Amino acid sequence: MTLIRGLLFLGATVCWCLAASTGYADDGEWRGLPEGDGREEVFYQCQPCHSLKLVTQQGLDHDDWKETLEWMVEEQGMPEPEPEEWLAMLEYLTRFYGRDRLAAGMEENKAAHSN
Amino acid sequence: MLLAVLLGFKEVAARDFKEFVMPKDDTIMETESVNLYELYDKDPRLADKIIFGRTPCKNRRGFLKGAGLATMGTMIGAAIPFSRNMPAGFVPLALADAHGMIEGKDGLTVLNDRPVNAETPAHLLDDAVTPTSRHFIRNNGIPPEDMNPETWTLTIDGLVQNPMTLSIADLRNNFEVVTKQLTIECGGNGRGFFDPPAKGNQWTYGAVACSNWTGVRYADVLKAAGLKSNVIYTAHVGADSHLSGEEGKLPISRGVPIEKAMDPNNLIAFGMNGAPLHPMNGAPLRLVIPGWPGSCSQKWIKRIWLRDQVHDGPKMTGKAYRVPEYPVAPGTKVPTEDFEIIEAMPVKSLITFPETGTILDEGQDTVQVRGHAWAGDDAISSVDLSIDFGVSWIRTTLQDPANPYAWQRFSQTVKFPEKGYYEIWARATDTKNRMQPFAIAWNPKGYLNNSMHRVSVIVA
Repeated sequence: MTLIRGLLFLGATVCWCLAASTGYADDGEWRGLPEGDGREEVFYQCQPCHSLKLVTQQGLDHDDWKETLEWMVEEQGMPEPEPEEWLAMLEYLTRFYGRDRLAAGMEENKAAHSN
Repeated sequence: MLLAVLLGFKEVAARDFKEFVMPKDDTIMETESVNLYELYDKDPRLADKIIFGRTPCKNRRGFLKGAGLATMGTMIGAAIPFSRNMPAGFVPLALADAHGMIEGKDGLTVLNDRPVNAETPAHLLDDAVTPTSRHFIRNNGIPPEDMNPETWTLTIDGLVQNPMTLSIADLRNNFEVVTKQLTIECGGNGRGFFDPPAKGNQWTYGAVACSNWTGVRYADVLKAAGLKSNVIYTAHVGADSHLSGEEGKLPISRGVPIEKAMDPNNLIAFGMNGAPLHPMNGAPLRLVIPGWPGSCSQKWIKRIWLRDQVHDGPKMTGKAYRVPEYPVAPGTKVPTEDFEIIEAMPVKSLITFPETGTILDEGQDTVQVRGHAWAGDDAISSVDLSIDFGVSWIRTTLQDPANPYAWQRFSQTVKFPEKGYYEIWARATDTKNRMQPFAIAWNPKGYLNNSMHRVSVIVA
């Protein structure tokens, strides 16, 4: 009984570590930004002034993200991205941090599967 | 020596370190205490990027800029004149012991770590007077490096007969020092429940507090300065700096109509719960203008400027701290010119016991519900509870406020008729007979959510 329990515990621990490892490997470098076109641009443009936590909390539509990026450039001192970078950021943000909060949903799924 | 202030930023470092290092070294999973040096040992370039925003490969302005440089400076407690010479991945010696949490705060949920914004879970706001450790943090910019109360000055200028610059000792010596228990609530408290989501920190319930504040009356200082007859608005300037690091750029500068400023309940405060202010709550000097959005209570206050127009500083204009002049359907795009400045906060209550999700012990069928209620410029006349999804209501015992603008304690024992899932709802009514709504009056920026607080209880 004790042996079985021990093995189960060991197994569970290994699984947990693996799950935790892959999760963190994904999240750590990009601070939770999911993979996709525009991720790098978002990371480097936003991170110098504020935490990406401010980005990943949001759920805004295309127009609101556009307005936000314009406001960052016009009033908040963000260096103006190149046009193609700008577009990539806008599309990335709208895709993952749109009104349906796709990225948050992906996080929940990941958590559900690793439990 | 590190300023205590900084501890918010240390916390960032600690968490980043954990997330980043875990996959590479499982043994560190066990480690609670972490060290910046270890983070730099693992990958100095990434550490730079994460903690200080130093981005050598992409950054157009050198490898350490803006908030990154300011963050490092704040962590050390001094500016770094030769920062440009520091190689990527270099850790200043002064950061050797960086680890841990926001010093002097306990149990707060961090919504944003740079700048630090953190709220308090409802059940941790159960004290009648909010302890400093449980007072929420709302920052718009980078807190100042220098918070020395001995050398701090406050300037009153603009449309006054006697412009003046006062030390904290001058304030103490020249004006009556008073202590009041005052409610401060962030205008965006409850934004997290907006659908569609609204832009900004996604506060849930806990961007509200009611601590004891000690200071001098704002009105007494304005009277001593001698208001000119054409003053209509105040303008508040703090010592925090803009996240971009741009010299002289203010992160936030708000004000209030002069009639509100002259209310005898507003303080220029240098004490919080019998001690100096917490660095993240505006040390060594701040305004406390209770009942209005917290942003009116400028932290690290350096200057009060009296104006003959509505102040137009950062976050006074556009859509900041404003709501549409008329009700709008959720998701509506509203033209900027149709927004108006938020003044008093609305009637609201918070259940601080039991904690949501509580499962009662077997056989237990009663629970003493308690919490606080407050109402902008007004007081509370009653608080009612429902345990049957609003069909019937139970009147609570309501205490008087300690003084005007203090929240009021309510309590009532409720009995559950049988086993099962219950929600306790609280609904406050103010002295003007306004009640909390069930649904959110949606607005584009996510302000003024005073919908009823609900906690779940399972009777086993």
